Amino acid sequence: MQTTSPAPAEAPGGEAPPPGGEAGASVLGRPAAGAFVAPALLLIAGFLVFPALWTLYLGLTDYRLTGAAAADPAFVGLDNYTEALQDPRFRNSLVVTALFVFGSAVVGQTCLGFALAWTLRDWRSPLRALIEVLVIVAWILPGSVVAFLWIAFLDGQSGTLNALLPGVDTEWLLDTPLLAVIVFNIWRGTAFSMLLYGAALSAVPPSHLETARLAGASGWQQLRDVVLPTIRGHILTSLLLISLWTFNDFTPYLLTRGGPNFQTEVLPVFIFRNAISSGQLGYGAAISTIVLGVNLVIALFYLRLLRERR
Amino acid sequence: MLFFIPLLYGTGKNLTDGGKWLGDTPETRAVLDLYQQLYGQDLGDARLQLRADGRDRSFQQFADGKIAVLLEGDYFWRSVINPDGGLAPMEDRDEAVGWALIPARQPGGGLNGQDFVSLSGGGGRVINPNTKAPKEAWELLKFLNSREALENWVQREARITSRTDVNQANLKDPLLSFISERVLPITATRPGSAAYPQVSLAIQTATENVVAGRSEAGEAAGQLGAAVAKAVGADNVTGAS
Repeated sequence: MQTTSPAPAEAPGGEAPPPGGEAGASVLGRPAAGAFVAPALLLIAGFLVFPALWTLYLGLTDYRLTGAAAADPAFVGLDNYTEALQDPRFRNSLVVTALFVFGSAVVGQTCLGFALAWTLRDWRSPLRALIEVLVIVAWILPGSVVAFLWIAFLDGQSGTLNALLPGVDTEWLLDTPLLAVIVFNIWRGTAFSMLLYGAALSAVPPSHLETARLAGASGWQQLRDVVLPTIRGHILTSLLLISLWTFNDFTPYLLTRGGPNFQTEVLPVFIFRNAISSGQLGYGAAISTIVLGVNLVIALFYLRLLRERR
Repeated sequence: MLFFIPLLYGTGKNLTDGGKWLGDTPETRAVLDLYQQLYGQDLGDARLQLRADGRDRSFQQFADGKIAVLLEGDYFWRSVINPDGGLAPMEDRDEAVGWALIPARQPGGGLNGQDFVSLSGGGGRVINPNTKAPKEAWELLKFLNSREALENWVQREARITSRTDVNQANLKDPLLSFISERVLPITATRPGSAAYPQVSLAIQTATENVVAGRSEAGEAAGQLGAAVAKAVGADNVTGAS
């Protein structure tokens, strides 16, 4: 427990403090500490652990939205999972999701967010505030409003984008649907990376950069050898969060409903269309469990990289 | 995607046949083949079929005179192109727009041996079998379906009702009268069973794949049969699966 660390004199062992009974070993006794933690644990258990376990259970049944199987679901074992592995639409959805996460979060938001933070770091003009506000507004507007704006922006006949590009009448959401959704999500989510990298860059000690400059390092060399190693933890944290958010993002549905012909059917949309639209809650729960597993793998991967920091 | 079922009726088959769901049959293939002809040869606008808001756009394009023929029902007439408060109002609706019954594949070849076919939807009012007040519920339904109540309703908004006497006495609109007299007697509805949404999704996927050019009609019919078999069990499907 963290509470033991401020009292090293009392517990010289440090790593293995004696149980709470010994006076002074911790500020709080174990029961009191437990009482403080209990509400949080109850909330986590009720709203996180229980739904996850419930999803796990539902995924093993043929539970449906309506009909006989809704009143009396039967246990079907791993049928939903074997079905998913054979389902070409599930495989399509996996590929679409991977491209969506990689293109919009890992590459797009990270690079654009860092580029903005790096470019703006020394600016002191009102232009900087203006750019930051615009980027942040894209992030905080409600999804439904943003979807409407982008549908209007990308429309082939009367869209703003084609009005700016003379001679172009591409229907972006039909001809390049996945690319359109990726660009949309880069625009939508770059603010978080920009803010996080902005804070990280201000934490890079100027003396390090100064030393590197005196040693004759070019801008690129300073970035590579001084800045990036210093903010490695921030990069990984940002990647972890935006990968998970993007993986679970439902907003593409508002632009394309998963179409045309399933080309933008990311996993959350796939789950929605199976579980709610066609009523297969059991199957949807099984896919949700798989998504949960993939999220855990992504989280573990980044956390492992974070721990290897030194 | 909207007209798969009426086209199927035009082949003389329904979605269920002798208690079994329709899978990969000659009739399903015929319908998907028509889709392939329509959209593979650009006789219909495939892109309009594929986009999320395609139906809404088709409304506007029809009202703008850019689409000549649409397969729609009375909703389209009274709520979309209605010059008085429609979504895509047409000032000259009454003069410019005509209508026709959906013909079967050949005369007498439609559902129940009909020459023409139709698919209907709508609402229903039912009594909860567990109600503690069945008599009162019955009285309420009797009132809601009475001539008086339905007339009050259609006088506020012209509609086709379930009562012939109300329709005959109140429908002034030529299309609504036509539908109530000529279409209601031959129309059919989709199955109300729990498996239907999954069958519907299978149909949606198959037609979408044909329209997008991802599948040939025969291939899509095979996928449709397999998907229906997975939804309702292979024993409950007719045709190859």
